Amino acid sequence: MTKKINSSAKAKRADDASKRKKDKKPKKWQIVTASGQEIKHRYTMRFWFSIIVFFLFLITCVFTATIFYIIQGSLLTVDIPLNSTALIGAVALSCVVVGVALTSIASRFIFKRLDKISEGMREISKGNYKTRVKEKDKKGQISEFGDLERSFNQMATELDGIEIFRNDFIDNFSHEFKTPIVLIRGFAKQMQSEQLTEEQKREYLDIIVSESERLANMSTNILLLSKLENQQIVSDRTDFLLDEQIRNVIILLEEAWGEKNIEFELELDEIEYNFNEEMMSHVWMNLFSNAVKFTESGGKISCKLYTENDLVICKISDSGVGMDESTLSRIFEKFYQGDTSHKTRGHGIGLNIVQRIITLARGSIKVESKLGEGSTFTVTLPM
Amino acid sequence: MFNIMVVEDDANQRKLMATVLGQYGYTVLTACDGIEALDLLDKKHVDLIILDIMMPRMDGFEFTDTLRKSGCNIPILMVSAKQSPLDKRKGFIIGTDDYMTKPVDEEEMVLRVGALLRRSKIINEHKLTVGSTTLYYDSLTVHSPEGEQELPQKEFLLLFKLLSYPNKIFTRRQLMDEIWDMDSESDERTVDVHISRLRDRYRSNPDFEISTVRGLGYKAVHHK
Repeated sequence: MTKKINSSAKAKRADDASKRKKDKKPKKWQIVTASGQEIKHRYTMRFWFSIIVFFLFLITCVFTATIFYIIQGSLLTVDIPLNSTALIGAVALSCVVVGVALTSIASRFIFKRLDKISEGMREISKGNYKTRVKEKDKKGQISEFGDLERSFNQMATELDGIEIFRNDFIDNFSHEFKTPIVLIRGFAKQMQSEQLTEEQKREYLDIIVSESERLANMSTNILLLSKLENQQIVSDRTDFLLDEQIRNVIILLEEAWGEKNIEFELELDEIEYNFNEEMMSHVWMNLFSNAVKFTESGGKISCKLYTENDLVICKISDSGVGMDESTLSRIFEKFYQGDTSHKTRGHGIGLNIVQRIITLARGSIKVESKLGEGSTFTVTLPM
Repeated sequence: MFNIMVVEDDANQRKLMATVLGQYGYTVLTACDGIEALDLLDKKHVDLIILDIMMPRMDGFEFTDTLRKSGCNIPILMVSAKQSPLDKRKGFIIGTDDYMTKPVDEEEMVLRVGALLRRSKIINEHKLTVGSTTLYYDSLTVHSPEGEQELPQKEFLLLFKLLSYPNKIFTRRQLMDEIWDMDSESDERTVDVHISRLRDRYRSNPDFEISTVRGLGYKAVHHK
């Protein structure tokens, strides 16, 4: 059952929390924000634009007046009657001529940059995701359109990432799935043959069941991993309580640790955090289910959650089998598994996912372990 | 016995779910999409619906929406390959009672079916029975070997909640958010106080006990 903090409770706590840290507003999208220089450019551009328009009017009027004066002056000798229609016509004509001429000169500068972006968009729609527009001009200054150009490049990078993700996913998928599928098919075919002992049948069925379970778990995790590998933007950020999230994750794992009679020692400070709640809960889920998996019956898992200098620190220690040096150095690798014995076999991408999520949160994770004594994972997250 | 309707377009998956449920003593009806399911509901009594989402003609979301809007409160367990939190949220908002992502563990599915049926019974009858103890929701009274007692509202709700989900651990915050409104000045200590009052009352009750899970919260345990 998903437990959601009652909305009014959440609002009250969010209020208290935001009073505590006034300058930290929860952002929904952690997207590129305009730098100070870009903002200055934005307003400078608007200012100059207004000035230019004013001068265009001024010049048009002066031009018209001059023409008028010349006509009046030179035509004094030729008595052409100047009625109001001709007057208006002349004014209109000169305004249009002057206006168009001056504006096209002035706007050529603006449109050149916009054209570059249009061209970039055309390239992207052709599927060329490596297209980028120049963000800085020759002097290394961010141009007046810097904001637009930077956003364009970020969009292009995300699109490129999605393309790479598609290809990577197919590679990972086929490799990791072929193995269990081959085993399942192989042993199932064996089961079709007549001459099998009862013991053989049982053994083959066991293998089929466990490889299927493996596939089932993997299919969920690989999709998540591939999505994370190419993500730069963290969306769906909300405020939530880390201590409560950890408690809920531990409760979800109850069946596993209850069976093993594992004792939990929890020291959790109440800490409000802003991030994608689902992703962060994956982190705890992975770390704790590993701890439970590798801790013996009757063992102990402790968790300490606290803040120190604007950093959230969470230490998860277990009294389990521990890891040797060579395993320790490779546990965060994709598909690496330290213990490949049948019972504890997973699929090796859990910690990789954890590391990627923590990286997206701009945090870090480190691990200490001693064979036979246990391991401690320390997660550090900036507030 | 309970009638469970399995709505799923893939024939093999239908067969598997029906077989497993049958083994646990349930009577299973099947439908291959939302429209067939609605037809079946008109003809037979159904206690619970196991519902796939991605089906032709009428998908799971549309079916649930139609059902809930017509006032039908049959418990629904959505089972889908769609695992994103957005889909889950959509499911719950539209009116499902539980959600599992494929591939499902059949044993887990059966357990959840059982829990949903129990809760549905409790909701329909507004009463909860554990052994020789019965809680009456409308009158906030408890009939037990200790006698007939009317409990203060918060104590009753707390006991009712814990006993409705036997063996499920609730954190203090969860209990507080659900049972105490946020306008009160209570904090998590209040939950502890109420729990100890309940323990005092039902110290010698043979049917259940409320146990503390250190660092996490509380849970109610049914004694068989």
